[in-house]
Amino acid sequence: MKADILIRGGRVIDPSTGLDTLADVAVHDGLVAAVGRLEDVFAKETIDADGMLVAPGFMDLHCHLREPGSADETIESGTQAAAAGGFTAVCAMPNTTPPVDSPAMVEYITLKARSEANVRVLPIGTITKNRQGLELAELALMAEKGAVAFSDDGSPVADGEMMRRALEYSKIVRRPIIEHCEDLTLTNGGEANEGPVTTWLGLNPIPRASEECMVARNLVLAIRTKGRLHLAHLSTGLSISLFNWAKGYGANISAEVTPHHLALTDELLAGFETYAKVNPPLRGEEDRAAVALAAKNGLVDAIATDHAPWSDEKKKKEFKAASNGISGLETAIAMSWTALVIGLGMEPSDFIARFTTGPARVLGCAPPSLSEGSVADITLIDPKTVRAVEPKDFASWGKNSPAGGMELSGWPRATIIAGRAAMLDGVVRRWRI
Amino acid sequence: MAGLPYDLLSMEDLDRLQIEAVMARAAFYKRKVFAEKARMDVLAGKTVSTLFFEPSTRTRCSFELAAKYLGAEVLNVEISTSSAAKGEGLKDTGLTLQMMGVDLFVIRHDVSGAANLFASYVEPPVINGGDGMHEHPTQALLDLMRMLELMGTVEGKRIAIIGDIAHSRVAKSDCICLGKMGASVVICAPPTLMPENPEVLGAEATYDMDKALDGADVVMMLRLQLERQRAGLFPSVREYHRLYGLTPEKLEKARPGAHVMHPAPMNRGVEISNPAADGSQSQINQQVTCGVAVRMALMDMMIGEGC
Repeated sequence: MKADILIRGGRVIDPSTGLDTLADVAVHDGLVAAVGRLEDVFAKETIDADGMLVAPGFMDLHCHLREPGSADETIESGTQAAAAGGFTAVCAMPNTTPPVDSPAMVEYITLKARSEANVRVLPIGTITKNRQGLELAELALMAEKGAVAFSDDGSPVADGEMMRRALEYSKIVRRPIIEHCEDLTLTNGGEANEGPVTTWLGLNPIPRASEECMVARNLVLAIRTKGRLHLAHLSTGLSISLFNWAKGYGANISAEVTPHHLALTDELLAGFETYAKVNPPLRGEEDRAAVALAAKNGLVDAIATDHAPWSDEKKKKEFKAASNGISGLETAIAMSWTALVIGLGMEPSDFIARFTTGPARVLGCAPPSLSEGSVADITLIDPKTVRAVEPKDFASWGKNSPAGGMELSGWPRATIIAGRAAMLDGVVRRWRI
Repeated sequence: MAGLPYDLLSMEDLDRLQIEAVMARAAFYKRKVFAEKARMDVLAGKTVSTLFFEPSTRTRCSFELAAKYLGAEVLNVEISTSSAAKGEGLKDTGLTLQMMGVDLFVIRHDVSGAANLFASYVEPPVINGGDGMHEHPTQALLDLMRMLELMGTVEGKRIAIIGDIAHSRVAKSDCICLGKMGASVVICAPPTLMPENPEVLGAEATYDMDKALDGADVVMMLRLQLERQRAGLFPSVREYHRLYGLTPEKLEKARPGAHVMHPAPMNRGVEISNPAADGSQSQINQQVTCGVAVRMALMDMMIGEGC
């Protein structure tokens, strides 16, 4: 048989079918042509995957590509970072300038992605017009143009009645309402997680209740409206417990956690390290452990990067004035692998599920799959090599990673989208839809 | 002589030997300047710049006179943070002054961590003159100096620090400094003005002022910023004064002859009553003189001839 790419000898793990076996994967004409012990394959390109994991393409539910309106990242650079990081599809958050709050803006993102993106881009529209929390945005018309979900991320929908209406309305658009849970009256100008670190550094504290109170409000509204709610970046043990509690009421809910909240703690803020300033803030060890455990045992559906690139102009300044966010696409898999698989003994198939079937379930789309005839979106992971994070080598324009110098394993080795490599052995290749 | 670190940004930067060396040098300069009326030239040819992004006439004057008593040139720069572009303002101002020949910076800023950031930008040594809610190391050293003058040692002494601990850089630096010198520190505030994890300050924490005062050798009162009332952190000045204000009656609960201190400026009638502030046990004015001596010692040891 003929193949564009032959992936030889890897451990093929496909959570969508339960497959976990040593096999070759042949890709041809953009599809998975065959999986098994393949002989007599004439391949244009062969990837030696001995010792590698071969998984369906990883999806990121939550990243900031910053386009339009910012000099900190573009759709092109952000999706090159995604390819470098092992992601075949990323959901782009709409808190841009101007925000993606209309069908025309969704179409703009789609068209821009078609000509410039290096991986698949799934646009997210805002919940409210101009992210002001005052009037619903045109959710159905944005959905028609390809919006996969709705979120005012960066800000919460502060008004309870507005959130209640958005959740009711989500029932006819059949897309999740993604909420950034934060009670701004409790955050009250805070800069970092309330605890020993804020006391020691003299930073304005953000109480954990700021997130947890809003999580509780939104879960109650989801229970009462039966609307479709997805909770972004949960970061405390109590948030996870509340989420689990609401499942008992049959709420139509899902949740994500980020690699940095499951792997890192607020101790990284020592010396006023603004690269570790993020919202929700890095928490203490107790919360980090609870978040990691929830990711391991599947209490939460997905791991999402919340990739938030910033130039040093916005980061290297007084702690109070520095922007929130971590450039995360290129460290997400290794940071999570090191914390969960190495640290907690998580099964690789469960790990892969949090980046494939989990996100697909959140979005209500077919999961990426390696079964024959499926679209050939594939992520290869090297589970062995230990390497230090080197932010200056990021494809992302944002070098703002607090993980610089950390020794991690579980690095992506190849990103294949529709049968073509967008990254191989750390080298990003030009890829277009 | 124990050398000092390049910058003084936090009381964490100094170990006990270094603190003792500063105390010895400060005592020397206090005698020279205030008893012998001598003026020195150990910083002749050097330029010290005070860079104040937060107004504080008292602290700036103290640093300015300390530098002048040592023979240095002094350049005072006051910048309102509202007019300075955040971040860029700090960096550009520092580099500009550095290129004009400044040998030592003293920085005061209303944002925590600003002194650390500033020190990362400029080449000359930096003394933190107070940054946000983070630290105020020279205040801690002058407080220690006065305590040593009065008691000879703070080892095993009980120091009560009472007031808005949560927002106080002075309390933080005092706790670190006194802890290194072997004192037993108790911090006291209402729950709304107590930090979340007071144990990291290495002090015993209580909400009860009587408990804090019990057996105290020194009672350090902190300034209460009145805007905290609008933020809901206490209901009224009179209720605060009743619960946490120092009066002669409250002072009787401390060890007889206990010393009363305050970093100043005071809110009379709020955290401290007039009779307590002006009584025979008050050391508040003497603290000011120690401030000049301690700052002289630091400047000499950081950029002077023998450093």
